[in-house]
Amino acid sequence: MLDRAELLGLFPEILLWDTTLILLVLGMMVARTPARPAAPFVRTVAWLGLHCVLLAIVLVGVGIPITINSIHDILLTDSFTHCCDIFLLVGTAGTIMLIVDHGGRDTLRAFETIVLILLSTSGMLVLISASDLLIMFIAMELQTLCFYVLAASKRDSECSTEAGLKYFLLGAFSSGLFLFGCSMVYGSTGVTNFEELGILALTRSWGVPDPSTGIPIIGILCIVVGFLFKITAVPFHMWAPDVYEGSLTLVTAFFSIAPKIAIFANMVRVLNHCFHDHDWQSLLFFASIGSMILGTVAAMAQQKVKRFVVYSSIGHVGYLCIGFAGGTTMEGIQSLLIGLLIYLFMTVNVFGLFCAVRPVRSQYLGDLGVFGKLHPLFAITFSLTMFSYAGIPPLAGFCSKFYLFFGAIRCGADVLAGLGVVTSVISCFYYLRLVKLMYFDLPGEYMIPPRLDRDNSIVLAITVACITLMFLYTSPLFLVTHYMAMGLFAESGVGFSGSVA
Amino acid sequence: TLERAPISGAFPFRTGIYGSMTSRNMARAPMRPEPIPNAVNANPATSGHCAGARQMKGEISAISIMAIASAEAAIGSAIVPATYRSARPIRTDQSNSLKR
Repeated sequence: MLDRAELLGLFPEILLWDTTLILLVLGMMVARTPARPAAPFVRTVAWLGLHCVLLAIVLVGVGIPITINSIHDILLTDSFTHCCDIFLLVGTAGTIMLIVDHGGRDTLRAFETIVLILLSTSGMLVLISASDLLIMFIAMELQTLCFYVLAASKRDSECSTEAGLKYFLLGAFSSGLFLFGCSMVYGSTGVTNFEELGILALTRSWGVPDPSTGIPIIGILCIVVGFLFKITAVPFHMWAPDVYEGSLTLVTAFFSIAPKIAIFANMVRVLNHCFHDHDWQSLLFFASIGSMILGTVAAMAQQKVKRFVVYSSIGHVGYLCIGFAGGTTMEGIQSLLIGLLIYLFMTVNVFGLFCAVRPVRSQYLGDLGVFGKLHPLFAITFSLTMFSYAGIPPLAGFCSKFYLFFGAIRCGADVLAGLGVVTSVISCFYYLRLVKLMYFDLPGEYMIPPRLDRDNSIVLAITVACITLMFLYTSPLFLVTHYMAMGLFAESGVGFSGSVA
Repeated sequence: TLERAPISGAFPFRTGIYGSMTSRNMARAPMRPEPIPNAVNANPATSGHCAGARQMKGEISAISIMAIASAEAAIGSAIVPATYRSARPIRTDQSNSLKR
């Protein structure tokens, strides 16, 4: 059965599951009326949830990242999952900190939002550690089902429930497709464990005509398509603008930050171990090109703040997929992890800024003009983040794009690097246009910008510090991501220096 | 023969894909993707008997997938009344409140 070494790998998940159950029961017991608990109670639940996540960060952080194969090899905990868990929990903690201060403004009326966030975070933690196709699917479904409910959580808003419905319809479709791929792979090989699939991938031929040998291409492609749906890469991004715009801003923040980390981490593990160096590479190549182009072109035409951020995150996903371009090389994976961490900080920052201005109901980009004149600190933070997104040198965004393009050139994917540079230049237009709107344009209507709350300010301060200082002092970033990539490649005994086909 | 299982599973799969793409009635829409996990179950349920016969991986996968599919159907069916309560669109092509 389970022995102590196996449970060590599961401590953060167990903590989050227990907290979810306790908070849910607490909510049931303390609710004033059956339908609507009081806002201070929501704030209490949010603080408890935040402390739970911070405790989980401490638990993961002080744990020794040994490699554990848990529970008959369905979960694999090593240095890669260790650091990805920390990234994910930091992102979740940042998002919950943005939520806690809204208890006073009575916009988050259901404590279940926090409970769902914690539950989906636990699903994502299991997803990062998953080493088996079935566990990967179950964890991904745990995360996604919580997200469907979160998207529809503002029940009296037409936009939010429509966003939830659209997310559900497209998400169910993509989960079915993903599951079809998993079942094809299992049906033809009889194994679901990633390590065993990796061994099979090397030793057998990949022929489709004779289905008794090798893993069918349709299975691999369906799995990759399922992943691309979840990270909103281009041919499969259609649900993202509507869903992200219709949900609550806090929920959109969580959607943009956390699943990208978890699903990219799981993608790296699946594509690196199981389906090593094969036809998924061209699919990710085209997804990357499409995401970069679409994210750039579509973001230019946006008038609303949240849709703008969605398209810019689609573009960023395109840049991150460049890391997969050269097959599974170590530089590619390392640059992807660098890009992911920097994307995490930038996105938490942007959503911190948008959550701060939410009460004044500024939905359109033109409303930003107020801040340059009346709230200079906000404007400076926003400008730094926009410059970082655009990839301007003394900031972290330049660092991430540089290493991604550098990794692409090293692998020989010059098209991706060239296209990435061109789209970065084009994206400078719309990112800097926001800075121009803030400083040089008169807003349509004047409004008094709200004071930033203490928790929001803490999150913004930490993320801006990371964005500005990460370029100057990059060695922690590189050490951590190198350590992660080494952990990923070291424990798989298979060869890993792939090249572009 | 073993090749019949994915093939016979492909028929409900195709039905589910078609249904989830063309559902115009909002109340039917969450139920339309339901044949997809059912079809997908056919593969592990039969292969589990043959290939990975040490543990009953296939049969257990089939049960887990069924549980998750039913949870998904429950959530979808719960979102529809919330939509109806706030905005009464019966047809899916009338839900355009998020158009730019």
